[in-house]
Parts: sequence; C-alpha cells; structure tokens
Amino acid sequence: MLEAINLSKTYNGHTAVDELNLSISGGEIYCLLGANGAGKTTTINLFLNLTQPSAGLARIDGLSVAQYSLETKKKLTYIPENLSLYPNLSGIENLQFFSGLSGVQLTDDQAGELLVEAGLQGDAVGKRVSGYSKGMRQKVGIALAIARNSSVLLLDEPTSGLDPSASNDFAGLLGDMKSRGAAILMTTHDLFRAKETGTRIGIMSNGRLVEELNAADVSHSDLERVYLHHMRA
Amino acid sequence: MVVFTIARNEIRRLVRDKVVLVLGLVMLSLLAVSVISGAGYYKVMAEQHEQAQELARIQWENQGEKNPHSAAHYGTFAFKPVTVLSVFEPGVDRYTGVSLFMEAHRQNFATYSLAEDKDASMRFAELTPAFIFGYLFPLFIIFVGYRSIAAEKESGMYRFLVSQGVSVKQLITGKAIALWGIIALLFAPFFIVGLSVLILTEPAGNDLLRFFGMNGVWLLYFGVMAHVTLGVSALSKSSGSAMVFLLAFWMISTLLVPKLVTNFAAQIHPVPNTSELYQRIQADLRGGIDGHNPYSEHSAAFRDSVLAAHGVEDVADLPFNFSGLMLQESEEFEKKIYDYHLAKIEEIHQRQIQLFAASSVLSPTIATRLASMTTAGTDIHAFSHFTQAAEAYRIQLMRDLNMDLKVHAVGDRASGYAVGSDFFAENIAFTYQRPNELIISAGQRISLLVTIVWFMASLLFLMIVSSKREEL
Repeated sequence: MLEAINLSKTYNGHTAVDELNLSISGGEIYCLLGANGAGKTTTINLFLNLTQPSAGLARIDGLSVAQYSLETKKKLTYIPENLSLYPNLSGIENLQFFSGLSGVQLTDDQAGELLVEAGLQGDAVGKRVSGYSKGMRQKVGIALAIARNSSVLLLDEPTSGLDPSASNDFAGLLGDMKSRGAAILMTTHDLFRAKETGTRIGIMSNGRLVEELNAADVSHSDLERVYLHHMRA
Repeated sequence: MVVFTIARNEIRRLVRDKVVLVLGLVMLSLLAVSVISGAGYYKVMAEQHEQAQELARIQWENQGEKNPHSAAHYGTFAFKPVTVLSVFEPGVDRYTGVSLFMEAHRQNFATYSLAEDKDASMRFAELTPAFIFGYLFPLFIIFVGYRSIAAEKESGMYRFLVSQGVSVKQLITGKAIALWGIIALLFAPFFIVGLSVLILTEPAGNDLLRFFGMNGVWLLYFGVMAHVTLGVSALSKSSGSAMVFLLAFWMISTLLVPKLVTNFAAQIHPVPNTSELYQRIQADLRGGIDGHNPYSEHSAAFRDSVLAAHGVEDVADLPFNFSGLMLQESEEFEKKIYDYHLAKIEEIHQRQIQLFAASSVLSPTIATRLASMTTAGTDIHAFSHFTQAAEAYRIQLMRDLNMDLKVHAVGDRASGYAVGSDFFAENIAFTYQRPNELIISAGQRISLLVTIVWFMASLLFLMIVSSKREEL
C-alpha cells in the first residue's frame, strides 16, 4: 500500500508538491496525470526517498520511506520513462544482476522464463540489451518486479514514446501485476491509457492533487474535459 | 553481498567493453615488450659487467713490471653490478654511468651510461615496466573508471540502482572492487612473469624482498589512481567533466609537477659544471703537498719535517722510500680536497633530491617513482653507495701501492724499483656488495611514507564521497 499524508516538497521557495494526500491499495493502479512540472515526478522521488519531504509523510506498507529507506525500497520496483539497462549484457544477465541486488538469485532458465512471462520473445532474452527497443526494456522492468515479488510499482511515464501496440502490451502487463496484488502508481500524459489501465485517476496541477476520479466512472471525453479544465485554470 | 554483485557485474560489463579490452591488450603487450627488452638489456649488461670486471683485473695483474706508483696512474676500473630488478625499474642507472675509472690523485665520476648512446627521446619514453606503470597505466585506469559512476548518473542507471535499495557506499565500493579486479587482471600476468624472470636469474641478496616491495609500491599507486578516478566520477555531473578533470590530474601529476620541480631545483640549487668543479679543485690542490713536485713549497716543507723527525739531512738516509711516503701524503691531502668539493656537490644534489621528494606531496607519480627506485635499489642513494665503495677501494689500493714503494724501494732497490704480476695479483680486487637494507637513507623512507600517505588520502577521499546521501 502507498500512502501520502500531507506530503509537501519545496525547492528554493517553489512548492513542487503541496499537501498531497493519497492512498493506493494493493490491486489498484493509480494514474497520476498532469502537465510538466505539476509535481508528478517529485511525488515518485518522495516515495523513492531520493528527496526528503519538506513536510508530511510518504509511506509504503505502513513504513515511512524517510525512516525506513532500505526496507521500503525492498518492497518496490521503480520503472522510469527510459529504463537504464547495461547494453552489453543480455536481458537475462541484466535481470539476474538487478534481482541479485535484492538477494534474489536467478538461474539462466528462471530469468529467461520471467522475461518471457513479462512479454519478451523467447529468442530475445539471451541477446544483448543494446538491441532492445524501449518497450522491450520496460518488459525487463516488469520481469524484475515479478522476480522481486514487489508489492509496489512506481512508474514514471513508462508508456511515453512507446508505439500503441507496445503501450497496449505494457498495459496488459500492468493488469497482470495488479491482479498479483501490487499497488501501482503511474505518472503519465496519456489520458487514453490512464482511463483504460487505471483504477483511479488523479490530476495534479502546481503540486496539488486537484481532482480524483474512478476510471470506471468517467468516459474518455469527460476525462479529457476535466483534465483540460484544470490545465487551463 | 550487494557490493560483490555490483563488482561482478561491473567486471563482466568492462571485460565485454571493446575499448577496455583493446586498451587492456595494449597494456599487456607493452608490458610484455618492456619485460622482454629489459631482460635482454639486463642479460647484455650483466655479461658485459662480468667480462669488463674480469678484463680490468686481468689488465691490472698483467700490466707488466713497473713502479707501483706508475701502476697507480695506470689505474683500474670499478663496474657497478646490474641488478636484475633493473629489468623492471632501471632507476637512475641508465643515466649515471656504470663504470668508474680509479687512478692516483683524483676521484673520477662514473661514465658510460646507456643514455649517452641514445637520443634525447629515449630519456623520456624508454619502455620499461616502471615507465608503463608510472605514466601509461594510470591513463588506463582513468579510461576504465571515469565513466563508472558519472555515466550511470547521466543514463539514469544510478537513480534506478538507488531505487533498488543500493546505497552510494555499496555502489562505490562495488565499483572500486571491480576496478581493482581489472587492475589485478592485468597486473597478475606481469607479476607472475616478473617473479619467474627473477627466480630464473637466481636473485641475489634481498632481490626477492625488493621485488615484492617494488610491486607493493606500484599497487599503492594504482590504488591512488583508482580511488581518485572513482571519487571524481562520483562527484562529476557528467562523464565528460570527469574525464577532463582526471586527465588534468594525470598531466599535473606525471608531467607538469616533475618538470617544474626539476627546473626549479636546478635553478635554486645549481650544480657547477665539470670543468668549473675541476678548476676549483685544482686551485685548492695548489695549496697543499704535490707528490710529483718535490720542489713545491709544501712538498719541501713536508720533506724538511720528515728529515727533522728522523734526524737526517738527506732523503736517501731515511729508512724508507721518501717518494712513497710523500705520494701517500699527497694522496691523503688530495682526498681531503676532493672529498670537500664532492661533498659540496653531493649536498647540492641532496638539496635537489629533497626538493623533488618534497614535491611528491603534489604528485603521487613522483612519490611512486622515488619509492619504486628505492625498493628496486636503483635510485641515486644506491648509486652513491656504489661510488663510496669504489672510492674506499681506490684509497686502499693507492695506499697499498704507495706503502709498497715506501717500504721496499729503499737502499739499492730505490733506483728503478718495479713490481710485477705477483705483486699486482696480491692487490685487493674490487668487489661490490649492495646494501642488505632496503632503506639506506631518510629520504628513501620519506618517499615510501609519502606513497603510503597518498594511498590513505585517496582512500579517505573515496570514503568521504561514499558517505554522501543518495543525492549525489
């Protein structure tokens, strides 16, 4: 479970996140929408403890990330917009390395199976990552989340730059992770994908969470209207 | 352990990097060539040394019948033995000369250095393991390590790793182990081959200990370069800026500081040129007894004092050969004059060396070069030890010759007195024993200490960088 309780972050007098209150349960995909600079990535950074909150609390499974940095990081997998992998290692080797950091030792076969489960083609898993597309790299990230048995996924614009097919594949993988009981926070600009994938949708503007919607209760056009309304406000 | 997972992954990544692979192979090739050429040089020099020393002795013993003092002027040679460690660290041997001509009345400088036969470029870029380790290997370490952390920050990998729960300390420690691993991978073949060369040539004295010490010094130096490289990489915002800073550090340490300090030392502690030195010596010699000029004021005074002491009026009435006594007296006076002037030169050299050694706090390369020459026994202190031994031998030989003349060329035998092969064969032969101690001067101890301090400081620097929070 992910929780933000009156969470604020101020940089040099500029408030990037302003009293954010948020709760994402296991089996839920929360899509955070907003313009550039709205505070989406700062929110992710606060949950990663890459930056300290100016006020409030960020919690993962009830633990404060500032206080229990290592413990909370063990529970999550973070997938950025451009997932960095070691280009001269294969998909299997990359997965073995990153899972090894969490103490999960995978054999070649186990790593290969996880990558296939995450949507990679069987013949690609042993190839060097330098030849992988962005979508393929994101799938390695999902495989890592499965390997680490993460209860929390933090996704920072993961579908940005993916072609529709790859984006759709990725949404399917998120659905799988959701059904495994993971609490997922995904920042995105993609209203369509947010509506299709998310359980709930939040809209941020100037660091504040200005709107929260149930994805099932809103149509694509209504979501777009509400979003544009807040962006132009 | 996370650090070993990071280290293992980094080594695998680096080994697969074609640039690292090519650079590593180039380093190994250069080391192989340097050891092969160094071993060849050592073999030739050792043979030449043995032959020359034997020949000098044969010539001495077979110089024919002659007056002992004529033999003193005929002179002989002392050759500095070549240590097998010069294969790896030739030190100053190739510039100081290997042969010393020993004759009556004067102390000569060593001559016939290898550098005299080569062009100027050889002095700078002679391919030896010491040159490669001192100048080229740090560049290799920089090229391998400058991107280690900086590039991961650029690519977002660092952020991704931190999100996995990896701390800065774990990341830097893992990278450091990996960089050390790559260094060890290249150093191990050299060490094994070097040790084999040493053992095959039957190391003398404490050569084995010196070899280990020398390699220890180089490993400390590599540690300095590795720690600085990783620390700078961690602190830099981009791999480009890390590279620029590290190259500047390399240039300052290996090129700029040594050059500036050498020039500075020569300016503030100038050494007189050889002809100027000999002019001063000759001027002072004129103020004392001249063994070859019985009519000089000082010689006449000495003769009168000896005659008075023995209560005779003519040197022919003395119970010994006066010429032998006067030549020995002259020799001892000349030694005092030479010792005085050469001590002044030595003092100037020491001041220059002290300045150079002091500058090692600005340059780990200087500290390492001085320390590796010290451990190899090829530094200026070791050379001085040889010249002192040769001078002690010369003095003893001249005394033996003069005393023979004094004691035996008396009475009827005085005129045309000569000795032959039997006598010369009984003269002591020059044998040189290198010091058993690794360290024979305070300056050497300081250079070793400064190298260790550089290593500790670089480690501390890396630990401070590692102790930063995730927001590098």
